[in-house]
Amino acid sequence: MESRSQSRSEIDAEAAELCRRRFTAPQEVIITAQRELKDPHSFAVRAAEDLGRSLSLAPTLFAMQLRSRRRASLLGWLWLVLPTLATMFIALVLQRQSVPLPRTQMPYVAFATIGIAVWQCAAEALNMPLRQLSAHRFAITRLNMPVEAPIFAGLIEVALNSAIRSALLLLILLLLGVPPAPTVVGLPLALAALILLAVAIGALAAPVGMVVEDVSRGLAIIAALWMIATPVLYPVPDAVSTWNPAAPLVDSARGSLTGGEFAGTAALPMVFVSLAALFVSWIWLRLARPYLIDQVA
Amino acid sequence: MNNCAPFTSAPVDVRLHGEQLALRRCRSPAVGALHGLRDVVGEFAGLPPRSGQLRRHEFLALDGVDVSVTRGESLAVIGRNGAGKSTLLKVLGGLLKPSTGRVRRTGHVETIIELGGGLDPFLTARENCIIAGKLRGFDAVDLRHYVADVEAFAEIGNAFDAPVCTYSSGMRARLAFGLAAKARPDILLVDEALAVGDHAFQRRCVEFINQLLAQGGSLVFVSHNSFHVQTLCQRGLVLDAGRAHFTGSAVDAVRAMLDLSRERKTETARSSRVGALRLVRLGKLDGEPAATGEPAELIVEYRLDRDHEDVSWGFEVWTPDEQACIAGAQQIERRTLRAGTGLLRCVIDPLTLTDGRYVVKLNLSDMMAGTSIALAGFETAAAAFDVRTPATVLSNYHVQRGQMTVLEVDWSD
Repeated sequence: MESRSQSRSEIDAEAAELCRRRFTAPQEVIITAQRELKDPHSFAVRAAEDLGRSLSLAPTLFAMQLRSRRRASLLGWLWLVLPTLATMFIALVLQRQSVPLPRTQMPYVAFATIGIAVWQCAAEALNMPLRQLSAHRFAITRLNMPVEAPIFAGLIEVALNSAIRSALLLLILLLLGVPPAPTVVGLPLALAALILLAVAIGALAAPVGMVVEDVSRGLAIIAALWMIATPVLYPVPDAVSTWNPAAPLVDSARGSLTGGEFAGTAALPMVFVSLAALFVSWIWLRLARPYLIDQVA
Repeated sequence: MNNCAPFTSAPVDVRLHGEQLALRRCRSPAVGALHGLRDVVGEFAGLPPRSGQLRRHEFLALDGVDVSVTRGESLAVIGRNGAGKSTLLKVLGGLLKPSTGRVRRTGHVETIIELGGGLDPFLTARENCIIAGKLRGFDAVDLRHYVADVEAFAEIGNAFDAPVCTYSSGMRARLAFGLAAKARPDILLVDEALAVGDHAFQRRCVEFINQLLAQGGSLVFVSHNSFHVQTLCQRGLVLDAGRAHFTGSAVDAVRAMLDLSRERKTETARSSRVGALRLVRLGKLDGEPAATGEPAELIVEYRLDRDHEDVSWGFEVWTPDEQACIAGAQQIERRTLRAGTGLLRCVIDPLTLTDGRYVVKLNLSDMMAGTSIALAGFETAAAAFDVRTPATVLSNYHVQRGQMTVLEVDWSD
């Protein structure tokens, strides 16, 4: 009992010091109707500050999100691997039933399983910004949470999920008798380019999506159409893949795993393109915040 | 959102100052999203800002409001629903960007809006507390104190380590208030936070607010509870349709708010009527003034804008000062009245009112809806009529004793 009261008084003393520090070092803030980009320097400074806050907050946010989801779900991590396992199972059944399957440079089961696993990463990344901003809507609109924080937390989650899927893929390929090639080291690069590109597109749509639900429905259709135009379950014609930036990335990821062309040749330039797209989406997200996200405040 | 610009009009001691604050909002989220999209694209493309004119579905949620709160001062913001109170709080807290005007504030701000709304139901109070602390930028030491403070404030015992979805609404309110309060704000913006939670919680919150003010903190308090407004706040601002209707002491602000509510209630009641009633006369059948003990006739003219089914009507006789209702009669058989004007007539036989002046109030009601179709004498001056009775010992006795009606009785030994 005594030690408890002592620790309480210590806490109070430190809290009083904390309070004194806050009261003696007040920070002045001026909020005006002025456009964000009218003063690019201030805009950049605020963006950098929020980025720093978000980077420090994101790991905690991510860890708590995981705990929250684990408590709200019975199957938990199984959802990460279920689509890949289901695709492999269906492809195996189709192959045994002698159903005419697309001609691929590797066993079709391996082709389709890798395609679905890689595409799952892209689809998750595409929906992530809207899902994260919606999940943290209250904190963003009521507690001034920087919009970058939930996006970073979501990125960590997408990266972790992608790593788990990749590990599962390696295991499946071994079971299918397709040993992973040394070029597998290029897989993270191809996945990173694909994920960043999808996040950039998702982040462009997310602010509007928080206000009107047409965007989330539209994103679902876009993801489905995009998958049709990407070599996920079958090779696509060159005429299509030329205009689809995701096509060479999915091919690169598959090639990295099975000893095809090294992912770096196609994926490395795309990483920079995706980063540039992500930068534009970030600026867009920051500019959109007062106009669109505040509609839901 | 926070733009640094010279701002010299506020006194030095002012901790929170809002100047000519206006905010456009859109009633339709979809149209608002389109407007917003145009604005963002315009800003992205470097196009000139749009004019100040309101666009489709837009309205001014705030219109030229000035606010100022000094160190240790508390300001109540009151008004009817939709007056702009919560919007003002969000603008002051930096959650919404004003359309015009600016806010200058000094110190750490905490905004308490919709208690419990931001809690993750599948995380424990401790875990929610850690997120809240990290969001406020606390380092490891600060975070430890913060969690301990919130735990002590919330007083929810072992439930602090149970998922929030297992909490009662009162426990959530305690936790949510503690999360904001224990971040040690210089300026606390509270929106209806004390409306939830039990008596003990409200006492705790009030104690905390008083302590904050005593330590030099500032408070902006939005509430419909006039008792809390008057006991917690020194100054008051009454908002009406986004504009400042009254600024002064909290006590005067509550009175101004009550006056405004009364005015609006009367206006609303009048505007909701779809007809009118008028007393044509109340007197003897031959047209002479009414007399005690003789038959009297009441004639009322009505005017209706449309047909009404299931209507009921009646009258009440009141003292001339309208302090006491003496008698009345109501026709409660459901009748239909057609649009236009007409007369309602009844005979009172005998009239038992004693000599003197009286007023009559009329009503015409929809029996199904239970609402008034037309009233006369309730919100406006009631029509007066006289009862003249020849002077007799008995009638003089009635007047002398202040008896307003006589009862017909049979005496027995």
